[in-house]
Amino acid sequence: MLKNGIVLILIIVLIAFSCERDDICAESTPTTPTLTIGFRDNDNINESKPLNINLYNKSRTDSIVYSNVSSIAVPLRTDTTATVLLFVKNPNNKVASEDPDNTDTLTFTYTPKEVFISRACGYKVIFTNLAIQNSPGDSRWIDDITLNMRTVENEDTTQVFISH
Amino acid sequence: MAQEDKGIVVEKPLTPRPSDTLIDKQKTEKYGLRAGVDISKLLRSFLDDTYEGLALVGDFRIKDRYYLAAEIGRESKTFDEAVFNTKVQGSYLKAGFNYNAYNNWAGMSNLIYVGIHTGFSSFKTDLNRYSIYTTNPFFEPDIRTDSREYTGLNAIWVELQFGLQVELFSNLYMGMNVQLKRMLSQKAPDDFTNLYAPGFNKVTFDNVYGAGYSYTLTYLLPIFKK
Repeated sequence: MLKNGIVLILIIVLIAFSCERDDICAESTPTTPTLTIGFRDNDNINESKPLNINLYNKSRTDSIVYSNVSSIAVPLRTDTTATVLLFVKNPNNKVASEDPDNTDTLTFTYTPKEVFISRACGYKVIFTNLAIQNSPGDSRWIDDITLNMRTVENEDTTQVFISH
Repeated sequence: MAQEDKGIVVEKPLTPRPSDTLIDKQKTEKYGLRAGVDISKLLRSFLDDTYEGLALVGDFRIKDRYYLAAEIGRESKTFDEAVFNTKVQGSYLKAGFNYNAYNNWAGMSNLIYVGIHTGFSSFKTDLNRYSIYTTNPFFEPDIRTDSREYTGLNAIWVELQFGLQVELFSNLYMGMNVQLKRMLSQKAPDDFTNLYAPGFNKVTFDNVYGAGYSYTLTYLLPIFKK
């Protein structure tokens, strides 16, 4: 009977109202990308060359530590058009055979672009017109910086190669 | 006449006896305009700090079991979430038909009904705060408070209603219904999304379906009886 069906639907829907899905940003969702930098051997540009490297912000209050890696993820500021980071090769190692505790200061400039992702994740920023400038100080350990891509919109590709 | 008297006793007709009043009472059906308010929206406005709403509802009986129904309302809803704070506000209009599936006893006029309605909503969204989502905590969170206003947003949908209307006192009705909706079209901001549409309720990002409910208090202004 139609009227019994209507009453049944009323009850089912009222119960269903009490269990709504939560909106949580899934980890697999691509959000603001980090810049991927690969390290290569300056003597053989086709070969990757791992190293120990620390990244610091300008005031050296925060750091990201990498040991024996040939690829790193570099965060870029989303609230401005430039990020300055200290790239320290063989950090705190004064007796390394190559570039002991050597600091190069890299300035990344770019155009941040805001992109809406979803209700749960909100907004992300992608970066276009990427350029990198090296201020090595007394001695440089970075021999060459190659921009593979000038746009950073995901973490699946290596946008920049540094040879040392 | 002699033939008729052979062994046949003709009884006198019975005197008329009072019959069952329920069956014999003249069936009168009230036709008229039933109008009132959605009390669930009033209650929710009072209980939920993020919500304000008011709706007027009405129906008009056009045929034995068929009613023309309409609803007009205003709603605003604030979403204060980790990734943004936004407020949606606007007004809506719904209209459609209800079919009463309930067989009333004489003199009663309750409804158990199913209805099909279309809705139109016009609204705006204020984005008060939002943050740039990142999984890398190296830099301090990028929280932006430059307020943005998206105007001229709208939504069009169809909804199925299932509900009851019970006459509490003479001509005063209490009603409840649930609404299953399907979005037909919506105009969302270019760089944001519709989280809510007045009248439609919550708009989900990945599908076109929605749901709602209401409790109503209405008064029937009888225009004629049949």
